[in-house]
Amino acid sequence: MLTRLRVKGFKSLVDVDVRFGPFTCIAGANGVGKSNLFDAIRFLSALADNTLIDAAKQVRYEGERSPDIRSLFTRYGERRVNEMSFEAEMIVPKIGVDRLGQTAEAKPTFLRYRLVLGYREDGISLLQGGLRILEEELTYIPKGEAAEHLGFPHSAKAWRESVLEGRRTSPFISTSTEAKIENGMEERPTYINIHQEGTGGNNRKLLAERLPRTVLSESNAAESPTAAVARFEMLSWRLLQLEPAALRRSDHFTDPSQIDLDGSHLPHALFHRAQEARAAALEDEDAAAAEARVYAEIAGRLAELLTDVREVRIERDDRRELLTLEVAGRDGAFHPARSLSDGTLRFLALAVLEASSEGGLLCLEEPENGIHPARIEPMLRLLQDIATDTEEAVGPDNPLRQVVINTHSPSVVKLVPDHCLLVADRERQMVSEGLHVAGSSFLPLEGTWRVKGKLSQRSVPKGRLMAYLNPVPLESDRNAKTVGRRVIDREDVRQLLLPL
Amino acid sequence: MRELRFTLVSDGSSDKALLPVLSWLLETNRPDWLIHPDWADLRRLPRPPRDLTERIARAVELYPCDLLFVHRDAENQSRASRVAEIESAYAHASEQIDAERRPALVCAVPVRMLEAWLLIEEGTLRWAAENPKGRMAIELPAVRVLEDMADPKLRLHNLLVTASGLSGRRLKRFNVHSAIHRVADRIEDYSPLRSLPAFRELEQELMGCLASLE
Repeated sequence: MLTRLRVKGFKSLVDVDVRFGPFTCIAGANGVGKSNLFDAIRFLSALADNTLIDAAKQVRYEGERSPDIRSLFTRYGERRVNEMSFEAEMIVPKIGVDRLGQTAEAKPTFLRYRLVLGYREDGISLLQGGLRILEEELTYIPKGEAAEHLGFPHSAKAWRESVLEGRRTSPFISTSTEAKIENGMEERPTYINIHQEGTGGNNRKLLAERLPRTVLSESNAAESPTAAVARFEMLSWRLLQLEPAALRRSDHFTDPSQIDLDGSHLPHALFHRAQEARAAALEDEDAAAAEARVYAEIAGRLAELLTDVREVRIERDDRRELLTLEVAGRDGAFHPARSLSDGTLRFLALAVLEASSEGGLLCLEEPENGIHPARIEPMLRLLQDIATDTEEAVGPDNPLRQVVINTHSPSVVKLVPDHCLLVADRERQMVSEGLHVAGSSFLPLEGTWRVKGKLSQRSVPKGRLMAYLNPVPLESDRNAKTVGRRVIDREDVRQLLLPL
Repeated sequence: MRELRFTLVSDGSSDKALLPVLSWLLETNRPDWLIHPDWADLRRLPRPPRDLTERIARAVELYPCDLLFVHRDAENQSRASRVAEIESAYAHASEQIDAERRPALVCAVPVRMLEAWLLIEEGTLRWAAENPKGRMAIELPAVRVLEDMADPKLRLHNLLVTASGLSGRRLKRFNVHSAIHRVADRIEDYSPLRSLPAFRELEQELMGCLASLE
């Protein structure tokens, strides 16, 4: 779970410090940089698995087709900064499994990862697209200090105790420089150090300049278990971009059983979940009942969105070896889910995700799209249900999982819990002494946890909320062009508006 | 390095065009400060306030700031009486605002028609009129007469229409109102206006406010 992200020098994130709880909603106009925050999260996630250059290619570019890595750095005038830095505070799961199937145990579980990347157009750097590592560090936040870093509402006894564990006395990854004389000249090369965990193995020292990928991305369970778990955590940070075509496809029996980022494998994911429930059926409940319950819960969720849903099932076509998701209405006739609308299918995918017990960070853009204004509440409730319940201990029924959405919708802004809202905007920020550019800011509401106590962030001027609260000004401006009687100008419609 | 937030209260949304002018004045006089402008949009309030005192109080509540600018069209009144009106309204409004949230100072903006200040760059006008390479003659008045013009708003409007080169239906769809905002946004250098009395006066008053804020 990502609890804090500081970014400098990455696209419009000139100098940003965002704290996250289990559910965060970012509201902002087009072009203020909401998606750039998602890109920063995705970039960090990609860096946990790929080379620097491949990770950079996975991130959106400023409307340019060929990947120009330079354009990821904050721009000022015609030029760009040469450094970008990321600092992430995260609570990692206690156990992870690496690619060789080996388990790793994280000790402790509240970690801080810092990465500074530079751009240089010379020799080795150009082979890496110009990116090089300037600093990399993985350290921890002691349990005793955890409370002040976790400002969102939560139960200390139930939830916090269940996620925080372990102790350590030294960092896992650190950066150092050494003065060296090479060819008669003094140099200060930078090294990234991997500190041994446990008793086996030695510390390793790597020349930063030569690293084509982060040190974290190479961690394995045997040598650096905590770093490996941090890596898995970051790999679980995903941007869900559910696409109608992918959501509508049937699955082959051999297809993956996890919903992909574009929504593929919805049928198999649901089928798999139901089979899992069968296998895990408690003694006093038979397997068939456990399986039926899974489908019934999905149908129940869907019924909050569409009035005419009674049942959901997975149809097996044994001849063609296909799995298809089917829905039945009041008349009892089943039809394939692909006949449902885009918005409904996205809702369905989220419902299936909610039923699973995988953890991670899910980013979702404009979940309100394709959803009728009156049904936004069930959508928001579903999104919050996907996120971890911070009043209960973490476990298979309460995975350590969080959701971050961005939105344009006035309804969403009005209905999310106030402490979950961040308002994104552009403002002047300092790149360096005397150098100002327009950068992205993410401000919470007055009186919420991010503003209080030690965290003391600035709050959003209430006036900026009004475009969301009252998107339609009743009084037309004396300067605005008249377009004839609008719906809102009718007396009979005005009478229906909420009295204030 | 410090940050300065300012809020502009004005009668109508067209006066929002004053925001870039004020930002420019602040940035030029304090290049190492971070300036955060806000225009007090009170139209969306359930009961938009009419009275100036009420508008100032609501503006400060919704757009907290270090510096408050109040702009009123001084069409029928003398500058002195307009300033007195604003200062009185501010004094009354202050009673409704907590001491620590009261903006440090109020600068009353003495401008007659701010559109006069936007008639300085031919290129900008053409861009705002969405016809950047147009070659029709558009004659900007000389800078020294800008503040004496009878109806600068009409003049600006007409120049934009001419620069657009549009007619008939396309001209009907041309939004002059937003073009005026684009002019204000695009002008990068307001220094030619420093030869004009009202502009100079505004800058003097602003510098006085800044000095007392430090």
